[in-house]
Amino acid sequence: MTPGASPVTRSSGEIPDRAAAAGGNHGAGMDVGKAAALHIALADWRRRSTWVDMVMLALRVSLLVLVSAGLLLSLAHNEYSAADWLSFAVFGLTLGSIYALISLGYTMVYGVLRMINFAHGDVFMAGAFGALIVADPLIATGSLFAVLALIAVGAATSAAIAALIERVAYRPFRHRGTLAPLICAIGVSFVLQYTVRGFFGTGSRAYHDIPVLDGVVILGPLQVPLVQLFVILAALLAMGALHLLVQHTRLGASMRAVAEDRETAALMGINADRVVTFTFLIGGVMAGTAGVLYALVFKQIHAFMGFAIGIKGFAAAVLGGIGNIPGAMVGGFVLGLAESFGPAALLSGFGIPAPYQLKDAIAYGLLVIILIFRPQGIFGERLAVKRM
Amino acid sequence: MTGVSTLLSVHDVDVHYGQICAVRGASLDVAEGEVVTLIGANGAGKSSLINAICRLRPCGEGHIRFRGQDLRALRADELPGLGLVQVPEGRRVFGRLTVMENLRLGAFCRKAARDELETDLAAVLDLFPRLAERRDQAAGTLSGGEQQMLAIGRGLMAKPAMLLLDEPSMGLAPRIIDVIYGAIAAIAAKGVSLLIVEQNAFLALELARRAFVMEAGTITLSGPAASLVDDERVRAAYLG
Ligand SMILES: Nc1ncnc2c1ncn2[C@@H]1O[C@H](COP(=O)(O)OP(=O)(O)O)[C@@H](O)[C@H]1O
Ligand SMILES: [Mg+2]
Repeated sequence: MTPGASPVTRSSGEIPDRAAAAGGNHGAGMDVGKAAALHIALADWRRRSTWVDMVMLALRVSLLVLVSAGLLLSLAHNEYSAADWLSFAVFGLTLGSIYALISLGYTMVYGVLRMINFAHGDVFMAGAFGALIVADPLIATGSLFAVLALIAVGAATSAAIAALIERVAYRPFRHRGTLAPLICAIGVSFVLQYTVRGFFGTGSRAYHDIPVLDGVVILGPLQVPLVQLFVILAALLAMGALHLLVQHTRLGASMRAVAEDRETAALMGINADRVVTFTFLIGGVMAGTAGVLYALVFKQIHAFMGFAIGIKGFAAAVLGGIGNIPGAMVGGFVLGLAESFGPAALLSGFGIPAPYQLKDAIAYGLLVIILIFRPQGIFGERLAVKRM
Repeated sequence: MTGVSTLLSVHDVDVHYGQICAVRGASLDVAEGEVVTLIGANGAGKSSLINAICRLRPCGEGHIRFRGQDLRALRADELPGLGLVQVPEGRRVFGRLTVMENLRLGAFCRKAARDELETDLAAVLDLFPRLAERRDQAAGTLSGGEQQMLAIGRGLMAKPAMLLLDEPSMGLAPRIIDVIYGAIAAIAAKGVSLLIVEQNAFLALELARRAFVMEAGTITLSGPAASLVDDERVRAAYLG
């Protein structure tokens, strides 16, 4: 697919670039004049690169200038205190936890099927609503255990829906080699959105206040909402569990084997369909967990929220290198932190009023920037091309 | 072969890739505990036939039976559980998994107890001591010979009644090929039936009791390996 294929072609311009730079350094160390060596290297690079490489280089340089200028100006402005920056960091990690959990579903499904599950954002949304059904009686008990039960219900809802989607909407079309799965994903996405709207209405809904998560924790000059710490902790636990599952169980090994070479995995007796179902299930568990955590932090959920947040999760997966599990986790946190730091750190210096309104511009700007510098994502390999 | 039961029997199998017919009317059989080789030039259709047996490729009419059971009704992933295991051409180890993870995946089809698996792992590492030295290394970083050892070891972890080895000597140095064939002989000596596919047929013919020769998708010759070694046509084509 495109995210895999493009890096290889696009990055080709970089190699002569680097080779030339290395040649330049080498020449400087020898008797040949530094300037002459540089001149030769430059001429060599010009000869080897196309206008696309030139444009990319110009883009990279201007981006670097813009970002550094924004950063320096903002720092000079000195508008925010140290405590402000710390609270941005905690909020960024909170947001990042949620993005990271969502992005895992995209990346695992891509790893196993080389397909983007565009309904995944709505799987996330459905988890938040699944928990809403049981939220009142659970929250009424007032215990922390009830919050965990809420997460479990959300996770189970999303997992069941994700596995169902795979079974009825993707599997029948898997070997057809057409756009059918993509169209199905979009269809499923609408079905989920309008089903939830039918049951819960168009407006925003919320869980009742949960007293155990209400307070703030005071860390030196910093007041951190307890719920944010809870969300970060819960997400880290979920990701730790996922890591153990993928790296240290037979099921996890079979999943990695199918991702790498489906046919040979079959020769080992691994049923790829089972592995695919399992992949959707755990992707759903992560998304449902994210859905409940999101509802706890932002205190409002609605039927159409899955689209925008799902795209962010997808962006996080691409950022980390799609198909790469640790990459998705890191990508989520990078995106969350960028969104929370970016407006203050990059925009306030330019004197832009209400920079926080532009947080999405920062988030997607970051995505574009990272992909310009590193088309394969942070952890992605050059060899992201389909191996079949 | 009287008195020995047939383990694998393939009768009149065709394999197509779209319009291209890669295998036409192929028949062969392997008895319990027997070593058989299938030789033929590059592109003759050997891998296609092996993959049809393993249900990775659809086949036309005809039948494929293993212990009398028709394999055509089964999926590829159901065969290792029956004791029929392929060691594929080009090794196809899982490059990002470690050597030990690859070996353990070989036993995926078994519901064996932990001790039993550990015993079998120890036996494989005994057969290929090089793998023991590299146990926690990603399989993709092994040399070609080591990857072949791993692919065979992984196949053995399934406790197969029969191994299909697709070009186990492909691309390896003569010294490594000797090591690999030494191990294959040891596996045969334990009573595992073998179907060895080879282009460079000398070692395979030496080890095998019977041989089949494939040319352009059809099996053109078959008989005791010893007599094929002396056959003019075989000598000219495959033994150099
Ligand atoms: N996936 C494929 N698609 C189309 N043709 C194929 C495919 N695999 C093999 N073939 C063709 O089938 C014939 C037999 O190939 P193969 O079974 O690999 O031969 P061998 O293993 O004897 O070298 C060749 O002509 C080859 O080009
Ligand atoms: Mg072959």
